[in-house]
Amino acid sequence: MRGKLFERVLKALLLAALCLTAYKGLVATPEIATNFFPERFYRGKINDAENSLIMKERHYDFNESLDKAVRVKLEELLASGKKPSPGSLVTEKTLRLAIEKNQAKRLRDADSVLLAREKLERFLRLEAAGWAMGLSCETAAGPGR
Amino acid sequence: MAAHIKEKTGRRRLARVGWTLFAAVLLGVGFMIWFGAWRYPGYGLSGISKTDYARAMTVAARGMAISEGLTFEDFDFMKFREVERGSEAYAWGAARCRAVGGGTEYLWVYLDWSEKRGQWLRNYSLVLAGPEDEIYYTRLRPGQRDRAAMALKRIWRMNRLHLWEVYGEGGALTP
Repeated sequence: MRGKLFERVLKALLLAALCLTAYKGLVATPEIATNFFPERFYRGKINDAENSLIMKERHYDFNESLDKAVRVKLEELLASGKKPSPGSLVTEKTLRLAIEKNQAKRLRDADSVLLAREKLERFLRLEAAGWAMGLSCETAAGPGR
Repeated sequence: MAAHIKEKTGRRRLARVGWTLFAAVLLGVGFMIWFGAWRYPGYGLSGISKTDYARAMTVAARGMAISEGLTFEDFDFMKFREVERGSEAYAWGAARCRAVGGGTEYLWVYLDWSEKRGQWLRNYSLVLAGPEDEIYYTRLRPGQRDRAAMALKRIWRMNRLHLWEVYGEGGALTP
């Protein structure tokens, strides 16, 4: 009797967990989120886009600062006329290489900032247009796009 | 009989030493987790408001400069950004410092606002283009083993400096 009860409770809990998972999954789909919980949907998306835009800007700034630090190191090394100690990672060659690496990274970082800004602007546009995802296939042109 | 008992107590003593060592290591690891995740990030930054980010940045930069053996001069640039939907805010910048030999060093200082704790927290800070920075790595030099050793040394040193900053004689709170 006791064994049966335990089994039933376990089954009920499993069913509840399954239902909760299904509900959570459905609520996360754009069709349901935009139609039934638009405020929460847009708050989440815009907060996310704002945070990533700030992050990409910070990454760009970090690279800029690193580049500046490397250039100052190179200047000071050349001005001092000293030879770097053997085995040192910081030599004229690695400093010049670092500047080139930073240059390549700057282009990618600047692109990431642009992409992040576009993403944020798109969500603001969609929110202003009151966009909600329909059940039929969406066309590329529409309100807010 | 007597030998049997003796062996048993010896083994027991060994087990006790083992457990004591284990507990000490566990305590040490637990302390470092608490220190790194809670104590150090907020050290000396409580009571500074969100809009007073420049003061928080200066406290963080000064403390770090002292622990690195550098003299803080000024920020080359400093930025403050906050989101409109939500509570997140960030401040970052590069601080120009002077080394003992007269060389210029730049510190990257990055704080974020914690809504939960209602204060600024250190996120990550480091010396830009330090002597073992990854920016100087080439494809073959240093080798994999050296890279791992340098990374471990860097983490060890970072923890040592952070501990010194909070519990040593030259803390971030020194004006």
